[in-house]
Amino acid sequence: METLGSFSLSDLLRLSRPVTGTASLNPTSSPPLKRIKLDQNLLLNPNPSRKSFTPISLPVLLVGTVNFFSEASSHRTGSCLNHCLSFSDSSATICCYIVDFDPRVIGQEIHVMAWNYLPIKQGEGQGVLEIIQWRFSSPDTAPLRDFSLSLESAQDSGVKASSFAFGLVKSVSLTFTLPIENGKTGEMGDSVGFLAEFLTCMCDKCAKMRPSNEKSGLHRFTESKVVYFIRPTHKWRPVVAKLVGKVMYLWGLKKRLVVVGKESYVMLVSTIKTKVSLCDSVVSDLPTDHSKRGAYRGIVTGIYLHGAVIESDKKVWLLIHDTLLVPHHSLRIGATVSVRDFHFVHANFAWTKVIIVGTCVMTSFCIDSFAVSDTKVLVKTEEKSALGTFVESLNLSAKFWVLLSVSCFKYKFRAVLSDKELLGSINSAGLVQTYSSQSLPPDVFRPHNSMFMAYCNHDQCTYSSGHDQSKCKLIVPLSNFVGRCEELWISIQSEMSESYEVHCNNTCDGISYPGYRRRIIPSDDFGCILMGNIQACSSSGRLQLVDATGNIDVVIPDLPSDLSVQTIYEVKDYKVVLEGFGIEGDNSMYEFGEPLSCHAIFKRQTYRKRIHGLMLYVQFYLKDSVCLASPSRAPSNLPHSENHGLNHLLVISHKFPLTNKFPFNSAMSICSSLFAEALIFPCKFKRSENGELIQLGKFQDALDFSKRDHKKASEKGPWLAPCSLASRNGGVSATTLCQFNVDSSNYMVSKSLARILLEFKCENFFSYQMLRIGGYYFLNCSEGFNPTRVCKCWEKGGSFVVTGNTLQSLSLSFSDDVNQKEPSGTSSDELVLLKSLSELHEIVDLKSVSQGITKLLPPSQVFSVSSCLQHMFHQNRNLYGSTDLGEQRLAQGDLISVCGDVEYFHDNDCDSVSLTASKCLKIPNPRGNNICIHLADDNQMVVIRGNLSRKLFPIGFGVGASATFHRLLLTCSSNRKEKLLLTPVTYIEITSVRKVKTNRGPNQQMFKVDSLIESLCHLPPLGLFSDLHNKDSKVTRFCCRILTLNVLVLESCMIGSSPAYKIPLAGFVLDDGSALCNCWTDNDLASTLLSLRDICSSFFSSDFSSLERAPKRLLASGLCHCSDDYSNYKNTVGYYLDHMLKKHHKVIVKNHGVSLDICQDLLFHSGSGKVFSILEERLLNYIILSSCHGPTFIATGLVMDASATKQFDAYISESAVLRGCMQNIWIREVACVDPLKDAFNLILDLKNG
Amino acid sequence: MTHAKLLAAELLSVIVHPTSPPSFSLPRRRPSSISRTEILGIVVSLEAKPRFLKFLLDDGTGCVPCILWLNPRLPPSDHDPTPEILRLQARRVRLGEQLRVRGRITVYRGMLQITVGDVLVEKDPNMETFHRLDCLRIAKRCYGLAKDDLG
Repeated sequence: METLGSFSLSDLLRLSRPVTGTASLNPTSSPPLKRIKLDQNLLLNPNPSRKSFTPISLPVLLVGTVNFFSEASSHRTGSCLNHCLSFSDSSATICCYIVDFDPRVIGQEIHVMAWNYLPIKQGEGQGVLEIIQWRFSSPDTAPLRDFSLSLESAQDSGVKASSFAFGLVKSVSLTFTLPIENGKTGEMGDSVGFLAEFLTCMCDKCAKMRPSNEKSGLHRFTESKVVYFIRPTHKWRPVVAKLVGKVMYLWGLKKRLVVVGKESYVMLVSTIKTKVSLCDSVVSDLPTDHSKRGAYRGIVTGIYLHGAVIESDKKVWLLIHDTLLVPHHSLRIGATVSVRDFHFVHANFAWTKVIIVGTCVMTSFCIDSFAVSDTKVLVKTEEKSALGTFVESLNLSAKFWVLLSVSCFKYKFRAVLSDKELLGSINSAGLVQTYSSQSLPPDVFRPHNSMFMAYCNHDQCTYSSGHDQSKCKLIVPLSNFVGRCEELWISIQSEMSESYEVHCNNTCDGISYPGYRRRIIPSDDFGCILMGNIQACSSSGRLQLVDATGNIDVVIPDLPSDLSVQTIYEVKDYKVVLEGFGIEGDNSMYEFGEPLSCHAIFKRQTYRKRIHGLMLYVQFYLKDSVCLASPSRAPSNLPHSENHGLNHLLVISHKFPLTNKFPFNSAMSICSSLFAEALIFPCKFKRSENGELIQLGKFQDALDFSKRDHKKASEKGPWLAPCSLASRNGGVSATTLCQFNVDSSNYMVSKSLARILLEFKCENFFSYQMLRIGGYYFLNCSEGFNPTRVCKCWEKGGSFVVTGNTLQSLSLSFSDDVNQKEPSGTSSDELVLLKSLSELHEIVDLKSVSQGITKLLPPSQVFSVSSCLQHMFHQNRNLYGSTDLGEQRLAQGDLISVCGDVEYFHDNDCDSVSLTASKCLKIPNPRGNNICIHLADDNQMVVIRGNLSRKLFPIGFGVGASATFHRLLLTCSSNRKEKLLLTPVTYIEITSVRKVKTNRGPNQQMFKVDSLIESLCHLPPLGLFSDLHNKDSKVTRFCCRILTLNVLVLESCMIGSSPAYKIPLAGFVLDDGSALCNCWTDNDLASTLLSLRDICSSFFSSDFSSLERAPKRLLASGLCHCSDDYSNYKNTVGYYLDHMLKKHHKVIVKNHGVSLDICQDLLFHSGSGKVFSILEERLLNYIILSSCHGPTFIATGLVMDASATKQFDAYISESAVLRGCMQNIWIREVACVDPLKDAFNLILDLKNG
Repeated sequence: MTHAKLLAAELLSVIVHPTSPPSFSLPRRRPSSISRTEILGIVVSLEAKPRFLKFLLDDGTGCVPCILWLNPRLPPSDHDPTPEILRLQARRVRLGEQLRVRGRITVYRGMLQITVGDVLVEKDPNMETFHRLDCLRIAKRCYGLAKDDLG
């Protein structure tokens, strides 16, 4: 027969790991016991995780005695008094908890057949035994009716205790300590005990303590009596609590008047003679009103905040009353609990609805089955803190919110604030408590009573459904917030995919692009409060709200210069903007799992931003936010310098955008520095002792310094004159300072302003974000005031590294009315991201000097789209163009600023007038994608092209954004068409965003005819070839097409180490519909007419079946360079010419044909005498045929006289004469036809002519 | 020898002289003889055959029949448009497309038509207005069109 192993408790304690054991699956069999020693080898898994139970490989049972803890041992485990009994054998004593409890077990030796053991504290010899199945060791156990509890040692004492009670146990309080004063002796002491409420019967028999054992129907348990079990009977609490609902006898009680505060209670108090016995013959249910209090049973799915919050069945939240006394060793995830007598609230918070079950002093809380996986034992060790007391003073829903907030605060700010700062201590309140007490409405607070009074005064438990707690908002961890926003975005996509909006694609050059979507969601829709530090991201340079869980991009229109990165801000009123292109594919692949659920918050589930195409940011005003935790160092309101207190006044002329230097390496993506360009005024300011600002020297003197007129300047000292200056933070508005006597030399003054570069290191990106182009700032001067020497700060080309408080912002007003502010965006659909400069700061009145400073300002005109178009028409396009630099072409032109609304933007696969060849090769461009931006105002639209990485887009950049583009390049493409290009220094400022409109406004794209005609009046009229006989020799514009080629001379040359070509001469026959004309040109213009810079993809396209393999053949013949990806290989015709000319050095193509239909008799001459390959001839034919089939263009040329044309006689000879071309012109300029513009021009021509 | 820029209505009203091959002249115009033309309009009818493409070009004043031959001349020359280029041109001819067509004026079964030399797609709808104005300008200044005829 199989034997059962038995080992001592000390073996278990020594093992110090969660262990589970069982004797047999058949409890009726009784195999012989064998004493064994428990060690690691008996475990099924000798090296298991300490986080799970390890089964013992043998059938084992434990033999021991169950009893109450003695008073001495109870101190050891503290709150074990409430729930635990002791289990001891000869070697040790540990806590035990029995599922199928029988009161007779007290004092009896039992065999534990199935059990779990959990060490409470490693190495301290404490543990808890969870008894799942047990039996008495001795078969001769007394029947249940004989069960009684008494203190045997004290039965013979002389204490008089004649009172008794017979009744139904209604509820049992927790064990608590009450400071008492003996009414007779006046002695002070602590009373440890618990209260139990009995419902007694008032019948005569019961009154005489002679209850009959008849049917319960004879007794009516209606009269409530409270029995106070004081030391030493207080240790009976675990048993009495298990007997709720049973009928009991109690003898040996005393009737006492207990006075607590102003309240007095008559109650029965236990004595050492008290005896409790069970009356199992009388069975009664709890009265109806009691059962209304309800019962709840569920499985624990989460335990948070040291057991204060328990999640049950993933939907009910149990709030444990007075957690200090409650920790229950067996309360673990997976355990089944049953609760009776509780409060219930269905709370509607601002962001979610929750079901809350709250325990109170009356609540009965039992473990019905043990957890099998979770082994984390709850142990409460710390003292009750001020926060704990605060939490107990709240009603249930507020209590839940505060506990959730505790979790949020700890989660969010664990890195920057200590536990003490967050949660406070025993005596002092922490941030959570301070914040909560200010945030909660007064009606959630309730008077806090001692356990004694709470129990005695307890009335009915509360039940409320739909409790409105909308004022309680979630202090959301930012990672959860990002998760929620992405979840929203996906749902928006799903909604739209079924609606009209998905079809609203935009087109550009006939190509359709996906629709752009933007949603602006107010904070009320989230029901969340944002909280965190405001910092500038070291890699993107963007402002972010940061907590320990994550970050989110923010836009603060009223960003001050003195914002501290250490301060925690609370943002209640904000707007979340979600924008981006539609997501293709299946949205169901994104699973978020309710990021704002209480479960996710308590469990600290983290979310990472996963949807790359989504631009997500939050806009809020700092004036509407609250500073929660300030650093000890308060920022100064007035400009100051660490060294000398001297400041320069400067105006920001440009901000250089962030450039991603290492786009392919995320590890190196931290930007080292950001830069801004400023003009510095030649004077210094100082703060006087009384807080006023004093200007040292004056402009003219400073100019004199710059002219090295030291002698004159040295006679001047600090000089005061009336004007006022104040910084944003107000408080000080000084009226002091100077009169700037700026006279007619203003122009010279503005030229004399030193241009300096401000450098912002990674840790001061915040200061960069604060800067505004056109804004005024004080810059701390590193030098003292020396009237005889020019300050180094004014030296042109100087640079400053900006540190934390180097810059102070201020506003200057130049109008007489200082109160007049520009109206900001008022449309409900519009969200302001950037306030106007005058709104940003407190107005500073510089009336008396305004004239001087205004004139000093650099010209920083920002064009509207319409004015930009006019400007483009008026510009002399000859100034624009490009300069060859090796294989790359550098565009030339003016840098201008344009503002308007971004109507649409999209990636451009390849722009034929790209600046560099690399863009056309589709290789990853370190500068970003080639994008095309449609910028519009109410009437017109311009297209801006260039390279811009999506990662470097400013916040808010997208369709519907109101943007200012600073330093765009206005240049001409090879076809002489004006265009606006983004450059690496282009800074994009987003003023506001609005909801994306799905349709164009009715007024857009309608030209302002009057202004356009006016601007076109400057264009010379178009001429005709047939009129050339009558014309004087002057430059004329012709609208014409190439008919055929006369001659083409191509020569090889070298630019640097790269092969290149040049076109010394090209002759074409042009046709304008009136006559034919020989035209001559060379190099760039010839290249344009031959479209050599255009993409020759069609040359290699599949249409040309005979040339399908051309790339490979070109590759073999050295005409083409190798690329890894043939499908992406594209280049210009000119590129192949370069390589062809390497072989032939010089190629001359002559047309000896007479017919005009096609280029018939083309003759090719090689300078090297080598024979042309078939492919080379086809390439040349392709070039010439393509040009002959080219579009109409505007040629500007000059009639050549007879002597000039003589040099071409060799080329034109007879054939040209036969073709009927007698006139010759030299082409100076070539441009595409702008049909609209040129049509207006023709109207004028027809009208006038 | 030039490609006279004409509106469809003008082209369809040219006087055909029964010479061999036939010659053409514009009524009330100074250079009486024309042989080539350039028109701009929208393709409103299309008939594709293996050897040619026949289409009608509508410029708002009339519809001009055009024929684009897809077979190269015989014997072939290296400098002729390759069949691939011809096919490329043919692919540009699609219903609804705005085309600029150059070619010779010919007569087929008594009907005037253009034997297409090259075809260009004009994306910008404003080009139609520009072309009309250009036709008027040339007619006025070059062909000596009377002021009344300008409308």
